[in-house]
Amino acid sequence: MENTITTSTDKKYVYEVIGADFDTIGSKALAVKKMLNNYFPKNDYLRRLGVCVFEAEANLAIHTTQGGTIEVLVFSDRVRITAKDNGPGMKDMKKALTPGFSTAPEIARQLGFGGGVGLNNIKRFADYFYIESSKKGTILTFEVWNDDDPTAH
Amino acid sequence: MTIQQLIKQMPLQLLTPELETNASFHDVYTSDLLSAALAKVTEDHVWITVQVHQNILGVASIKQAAAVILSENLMPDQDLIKKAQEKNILILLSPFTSYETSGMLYNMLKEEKNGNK
Repeated sequence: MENTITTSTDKKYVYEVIGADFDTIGSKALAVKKMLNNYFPKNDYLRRLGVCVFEAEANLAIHTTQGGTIEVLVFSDRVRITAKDNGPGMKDMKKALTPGFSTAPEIARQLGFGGGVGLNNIKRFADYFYIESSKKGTILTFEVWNDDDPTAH
Repeated sequence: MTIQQLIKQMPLQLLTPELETNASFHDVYTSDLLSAALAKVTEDHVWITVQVHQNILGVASIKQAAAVILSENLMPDQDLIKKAQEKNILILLSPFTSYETSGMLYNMLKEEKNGNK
C-alpha cells in the first residue's frame, strides 16, 4: 500500500511556455510556485522548486522558437517536473552541462540570461535530474523531494 | 537591519512607496546574472543589480528577496514598478555603482554586527 503514495496521482498541471519570448520568463515559474503552495506550505521547499522551474522555463523561452510545455506532477512527498520541447536539441550534452557554457543569443545575455549555469542550478536544487536530447527536441525531467514527509523516498 | 533603516542611512530612492519597508536583511548579493541570483539570494538578502527588465521580478519573487537595489540610477519603466508593487517586491534606486553600493552595505552590516556583540 505504501507505494500508492508515489505511484498514483491525478494532480497534473501543464503550463505552456512561448518560444523566443524573454519578457515573460519567470511568469510560469511563479504560477507553478503559487499553485504548489496549496500542497506544500514550506517556503524553502517552494523556493527550491521555483528556482528549478524558472531555469527550465528560461531554457524553453531562450532556446526554442516554438516553445514547449512544463508538466508538473504533484505527489505527497515530491514534485516531478517535465519540460519538453520540439526544438533543435542540444548538440553536445556534456558541454551543455558544463558550468559557464552557453549557446544563448546575445540579446538574452544582455538581459542577464545565458550564464551557462541554468541546468547546473536545477541539478543543485533538485533531488533527481535526467535530460535527453535529440534533433527532435529535448526532455528534461527533475524531482524535488519534500523532506518533511516521513514516508518520502 | 530593516529596509527602513537602510533608506535612512543611504540616499536610496524607494520606487515602491506603497509597500511596507519593515522587511529585514542580514546579507547582500550582487550579480547581474539571473541564474546566479536565483542560486544565491534568499529572503534574508538585498539583491543589487543593473538589470532593469521585468525578469528581475520573477527572480526576486521566487527567492522572496527583502529588496532589490538598482544601481547607477538605472530607472526601470513604470510597468515594472507597478508589477513590483503588485508582487510585493521592494525596489530601491541607488545613485552609486553596484561596487560602491555593495561596499556601503557591507560596512553597514558589519557595523551592525559589531554593535550587537
